[in-house]
Amino acid sequence: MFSDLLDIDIVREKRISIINSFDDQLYPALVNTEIIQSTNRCTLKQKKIKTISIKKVQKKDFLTLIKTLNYFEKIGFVHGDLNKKNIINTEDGFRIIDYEPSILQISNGLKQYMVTKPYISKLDLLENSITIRTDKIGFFYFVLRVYKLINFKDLVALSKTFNHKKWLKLNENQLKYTSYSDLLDLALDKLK
Amino acid sequence: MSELKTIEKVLFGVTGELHQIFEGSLEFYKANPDVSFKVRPAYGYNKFYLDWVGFSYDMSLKALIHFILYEKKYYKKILSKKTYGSLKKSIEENQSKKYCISDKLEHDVVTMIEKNAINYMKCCFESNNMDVSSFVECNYDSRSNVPNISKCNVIQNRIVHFKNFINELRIYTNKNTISKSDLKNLMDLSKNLEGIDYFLDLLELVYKQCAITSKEIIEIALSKSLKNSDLSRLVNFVNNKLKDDYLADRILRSIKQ
Repeated sequence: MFSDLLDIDIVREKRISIINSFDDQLYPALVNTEIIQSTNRCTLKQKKIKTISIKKVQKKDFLTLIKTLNYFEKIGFVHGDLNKKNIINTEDGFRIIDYEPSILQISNGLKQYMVTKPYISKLDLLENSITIRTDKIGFFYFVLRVYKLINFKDLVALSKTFNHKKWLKLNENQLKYTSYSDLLDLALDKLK
Repeated sequence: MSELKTIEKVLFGVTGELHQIFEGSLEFYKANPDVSFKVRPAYGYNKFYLDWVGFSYDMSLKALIHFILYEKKYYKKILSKKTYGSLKKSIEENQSKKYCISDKLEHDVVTMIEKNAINYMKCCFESNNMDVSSFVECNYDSRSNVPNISKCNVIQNRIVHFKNFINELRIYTNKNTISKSDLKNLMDLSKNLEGIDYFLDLLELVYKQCAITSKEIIEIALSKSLKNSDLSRLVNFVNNKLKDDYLADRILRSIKQ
């Protein structure tokens, strides 16, 4: 039935069951576990949530988000597409949306990771897998974008090279062992 | 400053595009009212929510309208070269950034198009019995002027999607008699029509129900500066359908030799 989702059934079902178990207080819950076939990808639908503009953000505003991401890391769950369009601001703080049933899908006729350029770890690209490194890179650039520390031209340049060295002074291997709180501090250092 | 006709054309273009995008995903979202109406219409960053109105600009309906105006080159028609150049530069630098037009008149034109397009979308949601609270909260609450005839194609006395409007009117007139108040509404709507084809389509449906109103609509058409060929088509209509020799003769006389 889901020939365009490239995970084996058991992996996909496990992923959906994990997403479905998320606490509604922290994540907009899924409407149901049905996979929606749209023209260019297969998705899961989350409940409606009211967004507000991201204006004056303080360090503490990231705490709920970091708590969520720490939980993901603890259970070994990878979102795979963390970016400014998938983390929305609500009255209760930042919420993550758009969890795909499979990170690797056939999209527009091509086998593709459901990751948005350039928010992907170069090492993951080379190793042909999506790991926590990509989520951490996504989070790091999310913080930079919230504070307007990176501009559109730089993002376009990044999408071509995936060379994160200019922004992230860390070896990508080290990323795996760097906590989200430390990444937040590294991003905020650029404000100084 | 753009002419009213150009602004209207742009508005029709934008609403037509929104209508297509809306219809493309309607079935699923109608069945799932708890889900935000997400669309990927290949404009801008390719991810928008049609029911995100007002609170946040990124990925909102307003942002989608902005990209339609830009990518369909409508901005070129309604903005000065200077403003368009600066807007283009801003989009190229950062497409997520909201561009603020400094010229007051141009700003007002774009705001008017945005407002009407959002109202149109609200009417589309409403006519499909979908949640419109986000629209109402942000004061986008214009109602259709002709609720019996068209559920979502008329906003603030302008027909924004003529083809759909005429189809709805055709279906309505097949089964119902148009009330006096709706006939008056139709006459008012015709005041904002431009182009003989629109008038003739409307007249074709109205004359069967009320000859007097159709004659009044013809008077409105005559008040617009019509070409000789348009006047000839009007004469044909009057002769063949209304069988009013006096009116046909009057129109004939207004044809410039």
